[in-house]
Amino acid sequence: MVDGSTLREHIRENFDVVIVGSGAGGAVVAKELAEGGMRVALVEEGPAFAPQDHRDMAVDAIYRMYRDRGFTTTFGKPAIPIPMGRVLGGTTAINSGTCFRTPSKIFRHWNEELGLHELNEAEFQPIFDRVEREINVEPSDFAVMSRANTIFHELLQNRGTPGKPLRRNIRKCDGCGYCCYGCATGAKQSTDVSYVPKAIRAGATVYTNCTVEKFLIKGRRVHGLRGRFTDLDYANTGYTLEINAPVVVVSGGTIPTPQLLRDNGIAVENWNLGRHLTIHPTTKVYAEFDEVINGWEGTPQAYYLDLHEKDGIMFEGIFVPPDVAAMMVPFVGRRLNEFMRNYKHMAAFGLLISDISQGRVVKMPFLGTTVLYNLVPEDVEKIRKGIAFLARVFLEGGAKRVYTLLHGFSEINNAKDLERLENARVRAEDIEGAAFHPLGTCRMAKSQKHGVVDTSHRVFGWEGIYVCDGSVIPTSLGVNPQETIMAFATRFAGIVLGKKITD
Amino acid sequence: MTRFERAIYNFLNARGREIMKCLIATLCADDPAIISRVRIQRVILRTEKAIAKMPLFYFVVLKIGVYLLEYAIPPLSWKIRPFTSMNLDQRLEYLNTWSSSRFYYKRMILKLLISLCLPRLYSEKRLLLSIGFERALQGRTRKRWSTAPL
Ligand SMILES: Cc1cc2nc3c(=O)[nH]c(=O)nc-3n(C[C@H](O)[C@H](O)[C@H](O)COP(=O)(O)OP(=O)(O)OC[C@H]3O[C@@H](n4cnc5c(N)ncnc54)[C@H](O)[C@@H]3O)c2cc1C
Ligand code: SF4
Repeated sequence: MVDGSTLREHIRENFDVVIVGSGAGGAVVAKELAEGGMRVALVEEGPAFAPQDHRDMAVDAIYRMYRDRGFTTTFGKPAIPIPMGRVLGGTTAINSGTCFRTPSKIFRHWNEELGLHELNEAEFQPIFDRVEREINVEPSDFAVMSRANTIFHELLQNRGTPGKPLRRNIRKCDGCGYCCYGCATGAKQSTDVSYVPKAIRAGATVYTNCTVEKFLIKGRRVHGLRGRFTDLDYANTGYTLEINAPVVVVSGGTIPTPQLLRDNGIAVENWNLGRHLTIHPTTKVYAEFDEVINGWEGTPQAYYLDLHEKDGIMFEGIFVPPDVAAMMVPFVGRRLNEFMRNYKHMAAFGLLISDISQGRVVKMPFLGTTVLYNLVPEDVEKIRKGIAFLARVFLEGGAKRVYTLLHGFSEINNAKDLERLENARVRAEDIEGAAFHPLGTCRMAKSQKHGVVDTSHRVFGWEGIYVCDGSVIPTSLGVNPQETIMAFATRFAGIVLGKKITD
Repeated sequence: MTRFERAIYNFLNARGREIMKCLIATLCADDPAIISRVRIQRVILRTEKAIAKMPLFYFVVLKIGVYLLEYAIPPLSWKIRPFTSMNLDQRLEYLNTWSSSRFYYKRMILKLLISLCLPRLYSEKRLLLSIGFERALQGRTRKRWSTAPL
């Protein structure tokens, strides 16, 4: 591993493959190709941390590990924060560890409506098996779940509609509750502790603190890249990296990838570049109980209820530490103080919707890479319905009051308030939430008319350049995407090696 | 930076710091139980540090946002006094008009300011301990802290 922040020389090397980004896409490709005998370089913009380095408060960890210090949001109505990792392991290093296989319904849609027959569900099953073995996917244990999850489980059971424990990529999780801020025990099998070390053992070279900006291009063939090393404040060190490789894989994530291609004049003629962005908008509901819940203790995202098939809504556990919660409280002054004072009595549960709204990644003067995204009324309605459902479960389950992030409905105290919410007409800008699953900006398609990469991940009309990250996922999934992205990456590595990689 | 630019920059910073301080105090309603548990100067410094490292767009919006809050002009606000010279109840009422406004961008500016300073306030250890955030804090920092409940 080469730490670019301390390096004091220019580097020029030749490899068989160079990969940009070490998240769910890039790290998997690196490990599979290195184990397949190729000379692999993995270039990551962010720094590398060992588990024991994660010893700070959530807000400081965001500052340390999130892209743009956590200040990445969509522009539109509403503005939606869209956090991403900028660290070895990419966003997997700061995610909740939830794992889902791609739902059958989605495979059917890809096969039947988009004509992507290569994405065959049966052929993907052994790939999922392999990914799950690598990252140790197992059901969450009730014993280490946050009480915010188990209380919701009890309420659903009483209603006769129980959910299920989520499956997560963990080994001996002690439920410290900091999954999104760097796992200090190394329990979460993000790619920096699972795939990257294996890639290194198989001979891959990893460069951290190196921002890739330029591709080496001859005609319509890409044959390498150039990057600049940076310090921990994102400032240039003055040293550069140049790698020549016949295969260049871009795995920078759904937002950075299309911009990196565009900046290099790659696929700029393709109308689809940067478009078709889906993000799974999310929001959450707090419920105040008499009992002390201490929701921050235990795994915050460990339980779910799937109403995706029926309503396009997935409910998943969520709980954030007070320093992060404080920025989202819908009150100021004495009510804010009261909320925070009672935070230990709060349960919370989140929802994400399968969005039909689509956004774009563009470059704007002064703003740089910009995400444009507006929620369409159908999605606004799904979110309102989801919030109302959670509020009802909590209120009928004995919560003293419920707090939502919906403007005009910050506090729900009784059946009358609930009824008002259930019959409300809500505007997109009344919703406050976040989005954690951007997908689709270089989507895979049968032809250039519909997407940016073909079914072997090659950019249409170009040689030597491939995309393998969330941006190639053809449509919104309705479930958390890391396992799907890892499975796509495993399949792609097989294509490069010319053999099927399965378990 | 010329000496003149630096003078203006510093002046704006000092003024901006005053407004931020007033905003933080108002957000927690000048509650002595909170104020006594935090080092407000440190909260402001950490907030400023975070602002300084932000992407340019947010940096500019925040700098402007701070002054908009202080001297808001119609249609953002019809008040006639700067935010920092109001008494607590006036400031609270004023912030409430921002946070409950139907004008989306007005809410957003306040949200942006809040999302910068409140996390810093609520990462003050003694304040966290007083709201019961104890085991999780000790696990993370490996230090022993103690304080009376809020
Ligand atoms: C808070 C949070 C919680 C989440 N929870 C879950 C969950 O529980 N389950 C789940 O399935 N998904 C979850 N996700 C989403 C999931 O982690 C991402 O969808 C997934 O990691 C995306 O993989 P990727 O390879 O597309 O990009 P990333 O994982 O983001 O990796 C991209 C990497 O490329 C690097 N990079 C970008 N540009 C350059 C450049 N120019 N030069 C060098 N390097 C570059 C970035 O720094 C980054 O490390 C969560 C996301 C967030 C933010
Ligand atoms: S809850 Fe488990 S997976 Fe999450 S940070 Fe703690 S030990 Fe790691």
